[in-house]
Amino acid sequence: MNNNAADFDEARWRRLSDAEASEEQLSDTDRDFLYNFSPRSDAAKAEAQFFAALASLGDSQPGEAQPGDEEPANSPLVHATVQHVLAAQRNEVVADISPPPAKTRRRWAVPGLAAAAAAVALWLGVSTDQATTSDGQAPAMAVNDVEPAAPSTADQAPAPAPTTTAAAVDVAPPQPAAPTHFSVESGSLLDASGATLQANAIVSGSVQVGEQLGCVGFGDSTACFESGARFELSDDSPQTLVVVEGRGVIESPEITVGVMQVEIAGDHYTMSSPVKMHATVHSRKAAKVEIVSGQVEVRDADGQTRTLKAGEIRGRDKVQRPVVVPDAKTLLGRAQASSSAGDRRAAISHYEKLLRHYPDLPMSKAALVPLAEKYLEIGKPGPALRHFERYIRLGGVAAQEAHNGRIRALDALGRKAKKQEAIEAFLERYPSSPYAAKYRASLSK
Amino acid sequence: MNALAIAYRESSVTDSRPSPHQDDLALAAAAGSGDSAAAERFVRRAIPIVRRVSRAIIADRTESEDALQLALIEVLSAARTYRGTGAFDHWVRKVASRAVIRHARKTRSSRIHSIEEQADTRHTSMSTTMLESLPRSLEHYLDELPENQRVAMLLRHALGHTIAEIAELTDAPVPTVLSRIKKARQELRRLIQRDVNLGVKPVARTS
Repeated sequence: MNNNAADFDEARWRRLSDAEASEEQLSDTDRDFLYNFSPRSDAAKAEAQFFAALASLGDSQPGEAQPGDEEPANSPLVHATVQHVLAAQRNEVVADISPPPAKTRRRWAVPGLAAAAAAVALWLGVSTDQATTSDGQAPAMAVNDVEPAAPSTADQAPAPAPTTTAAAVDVAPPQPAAPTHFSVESGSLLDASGATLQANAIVSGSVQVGEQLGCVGFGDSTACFESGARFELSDDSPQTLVVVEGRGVIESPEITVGVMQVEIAGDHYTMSSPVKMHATVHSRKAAKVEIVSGQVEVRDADGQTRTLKAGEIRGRDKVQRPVVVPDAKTLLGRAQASSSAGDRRAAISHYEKLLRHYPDLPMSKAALVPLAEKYLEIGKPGPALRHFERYIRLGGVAAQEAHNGRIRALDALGRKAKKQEAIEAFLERYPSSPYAAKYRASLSK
Repeated sequence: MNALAIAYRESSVTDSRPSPHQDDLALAAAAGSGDSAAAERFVRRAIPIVRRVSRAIIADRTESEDALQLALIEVLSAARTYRGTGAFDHWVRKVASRAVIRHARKTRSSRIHSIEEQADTRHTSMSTTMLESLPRSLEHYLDELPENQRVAMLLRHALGHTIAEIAELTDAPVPTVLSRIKKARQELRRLIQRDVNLGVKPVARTS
């Protein structure tokens, strides 16, 4: 096959694969061609391999147990799932299907669900005169059968005689524990002193969102706000999240454990039912809240209560004054002048403006490396790493500097394994770099 | 049929089971009515499907196991809603996809959210899939896409959802989904072509 014919076939293959991805009807001939095509060029081979790998994403890896082999290993998971769902169905227990905080989530599901099921079993065991299973049989677990630390299979055991005792009568039906505090759900949150709050940390008082999105959680409800947003969190009952300013999303899931109160611009929102709302808070008095889904009770400063439903908006956006943005060259010049004058924060501000307003210009791409360097200099390796990696992805003449900067940022973040990996990649890519000797020495230590 | 052809065919599978699904319907109805033995069989049947969904959407293995557990609960809780009009596997995949996407968005720990985005906040070990002909890892290219395009690509090509299902799962109109997939494919093609032209060699290692 000559090159022209090969190019033609590859173009046809691409067109047909796009058509199939969009569910367009293909003729039998086209389908045969598509399924039997073997790419010849490197780019087409890479593309074909990409989509083939994507199609098998999530499959078992070589050497890993196949589904059929996993049966015994699956048993605890199967039992825990069944116990949890059936217990919820039988007793109308509010089944908390949202994950607990990440700190405890790793080991949560199997023993946690089993413990929940065991607690339900305990209750059933002492309440047989009131409760029966769906098929009319006595509850299948007795108090003595309960093994709180392990998944129970007692559902399949013969129904035991009721074992009511004076002590057991006082056992209350299981209820998911209502949250009593706010916690750091994810992202970057700073306390009143500007210190970074660790994930899952209990948090109260004044909190500000750092450089990225920051999320505060209360039970299953979350409030995720953009950088710069400020909250005040009160642990006094009812626990209240006051949004002082910022823009974000507040969400309460279908099954809510613990009611979060949110105060925005003097209005109190009670997150007791499924709701998702967007909030743009300008000040303690001005905000715009839009209900995306569900509904929420809102009480204003005068005590008037009403229900806001999906699609409804409360408040309005602040009238924006037109902002005059300097041209890109001016911003770059200001950034460089600030940098020369040693004012790193001003330089960062000008570089960030350049990136925000002129993201597609070559000079914006070129600004990524000096901007990242400035972040490193002021002790903020997180954003530095992000900008170095963005430059590396885009490619450019300063790629070697960007790789070098990335290694330093990883070092500053204490991510040793990633740093080691980055050094090895650097040496492979730039064996004769002026930095190579230093990195080889660090590897040999 | 070569491996590529199989992969393409799998990526567009919607409902290939010819049976009327009566057995599955009976199993789901029994599981949904509180029969614990049926519920156990139902969950065992669903596990491989749900596991594949969670692994496809969430790169981090520990997080994907968490998502698997939560999705299984949702699938079993929804058992009584299975009507037997479509294949059981397909129904499970759809319910699980919705649950895993919701979990991933909440924990922000997935392929849905870029690996770069997580790098600053989490210290997880993300898997990277290096391939012989591909200059960079699979995850790297997915990471280059905007979130909505990345989600659409994963649902379409990794999990084989139809365009209409993706529209439902992502709360987007069908034309929008089509546009996202088209743009994502164009962008991926451009990125791969660029790397091949530049002679980029794989440097990352599978972790």
